[in-house]
Amino acid sequence: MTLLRLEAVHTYIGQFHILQGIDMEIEEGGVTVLLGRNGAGKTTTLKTIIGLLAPRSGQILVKGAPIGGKPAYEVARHGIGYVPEDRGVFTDLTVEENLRLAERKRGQLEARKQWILDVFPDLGRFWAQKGGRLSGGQQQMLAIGRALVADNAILLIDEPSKGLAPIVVEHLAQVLNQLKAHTTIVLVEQNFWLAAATGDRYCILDDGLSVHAGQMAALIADSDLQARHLGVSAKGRAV
Amino acid sequence: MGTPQLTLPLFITMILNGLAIGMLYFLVAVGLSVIFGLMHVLNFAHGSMSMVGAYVGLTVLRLFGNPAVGTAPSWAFAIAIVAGGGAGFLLGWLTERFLVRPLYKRPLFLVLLTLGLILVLDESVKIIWTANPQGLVIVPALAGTVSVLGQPFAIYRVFLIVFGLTMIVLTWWAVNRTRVGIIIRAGVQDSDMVQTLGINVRQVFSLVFAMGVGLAAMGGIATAPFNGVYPGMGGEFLLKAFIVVVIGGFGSTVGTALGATVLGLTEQFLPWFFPKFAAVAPMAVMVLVLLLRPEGLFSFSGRRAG
Repeated sequence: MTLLRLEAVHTYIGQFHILQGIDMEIEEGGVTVLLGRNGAGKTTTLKTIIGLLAPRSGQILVKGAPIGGKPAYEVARHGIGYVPEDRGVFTDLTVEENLRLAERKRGQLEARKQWILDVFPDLGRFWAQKGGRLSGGQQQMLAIGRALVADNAILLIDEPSKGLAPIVVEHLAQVLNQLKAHTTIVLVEQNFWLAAATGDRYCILDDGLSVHAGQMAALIADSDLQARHLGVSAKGRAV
Repeated sequence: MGTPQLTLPLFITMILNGLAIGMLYFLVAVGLSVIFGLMHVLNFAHGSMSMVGAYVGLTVLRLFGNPAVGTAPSWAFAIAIVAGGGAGFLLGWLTERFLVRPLYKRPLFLVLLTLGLILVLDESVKIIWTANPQGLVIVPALAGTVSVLGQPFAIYRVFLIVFGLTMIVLTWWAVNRTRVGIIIRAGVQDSDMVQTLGINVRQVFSLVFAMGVGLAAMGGIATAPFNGVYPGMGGEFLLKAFIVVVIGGFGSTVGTALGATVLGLTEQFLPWFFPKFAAVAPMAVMVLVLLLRPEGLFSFSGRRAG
C-alpha cells in the first residue's frame, strides 16, 4: 500500500529550482532510501514533505490526504516524524525535555519510554543531561528517539551517519533495522554501506527528479547502475 | 565638600534601593528579551505598552478613590496591577496577532511598525488621558518606612523588591518547569524544528508576546507611585530595558534578572563614587559590556531562554 506519494512536485529555494517535478511513491513498511549525488535534491525532498519548504506546484499525499504546502506542525500531526541532517537536538534542553517536547498527547512519553530506552540505552544514562553535552552519536540517537515518542507512521531521516564513527554507524544500522518493523522509514543517506544494510527499496534522485527506483537488493547487485547514478561500487567505496 | 562616608547601614540601604529599581527594570525588560530571543522581533514599542498598562491601572484605581490624594484603598492597588497587566496582555496579543504576524518575514518593516506604534500609543494616551502627568500617592498599606540597621527604608520599595522577586521566580518557573517553557526554550534555538514536532509555534509566539507586554504593563503601574504616569514614560522604560538586555544577554530570563540587578545597583553606587557621571552611568555600563562581552554578561551559550 502506498503511504506517501509525491506527484510532480516543484520546490524552489530562493530563485533556485531544486525539485523539478519529482514523482515518488513510498510503500508502507520497511526502509526506502533516497540516493543521489550532492545537490540532487534529497534533503529538499524531505523538507518539502515535512513542510519546511513549500512546494510551488504538485501534490504530496499521505494516506491519500493532501499535505503539500501545509505548515510543518500540521504535516507532523499526520503522523510524520522528521530527523534533520543536523539532528535538530535542542542543546539547552535535557534529554528528557527533548523527548517530552515531541509528545502530541499527554502521557505519550511515559507510554513509550521503556521501548525507546531499550532501543537507545544511552538516553537513559544521560536522561538529565543537556542535549549539547552528548556526543554526535548520542545526539543522533536522541533525534531518532524523539521522532519515536509520537505515534508516527513515517519517519523522515536525513543523513544520520554524517559525522559519525564507523562503529556508531554500524549500531545505527542495527537500530534502523529494528525500527523498520514498527514504522515506515524514508532515509536520505550518502553512505552506501548503511543504505545497503538497512534499505528495502531505493529511489535515486538526480537534478531534482526521481530517475530510478526499485528494490534495494537489485541495486546492490547492479554495479553499473550504482556507478552511473551514485559514483559508488557494490562494496560501498567511491569509485 | 567631599563624599559622605559610606557606612554599613547606608551601604545596605543603597543595595536595597538598587534591588528595588532593578526589579522594575526586570519587569519591563524580560518580555523584550524573550520576544527577541524567540521571534527575533525587537519591539521598540515595548516601553510604550508598559505606559498603557500604567494608564489603565491608574484608571481602574480611580474607580475606588482618588489616587492623587491617597484616598484609593490599598487592595485597589492590587486590582490596578492585575488590570494593568491584563490590558498589557491584551494589547500584546492583539499587536502580535494582527500587526506583527504578517511582517515576520520583513524584519525592517517590523522595526518601522514598532517605532510607529510608539507614536500611536503616545498620542492615544494624550487623547484619552490628556498630556498632563498623572500623580499617584502610595496607598496606605505601602506608605511609611521600616528600619534597616537604623536607616529608614520605604515599605513601598520593599514591596517592589518582593513583587519583582516573585515575578522572577514565576517567570523562571514558567520557562523552566512547564511545557510552554520547554517550547519557548526550544523555539529560541530553532523554531522550525519545534514545528516539525507538531507544535504550532505561532500560538506560542502570541502567548509570549502577550505575556511579555503584560509583565511590562504590570511594571508600569506597580512603579507608578515611584515614577508617575505620563506620556513618553515608555521611552525611558525602553532605554533601561535595552541596557538590561544588553547586560544580561537576549533571550535569557535569568540573564535579564541579573542584568536588571546589575543596572539597579550600578545606578545606586556609581553616582556615589563619581557624582558627575550619574546621568551616564547606565550607558557607560552598557558600552563596557558591548566592548568586552557583546553577547551579554550572563549569556552562557549563545541565545537561550533559561
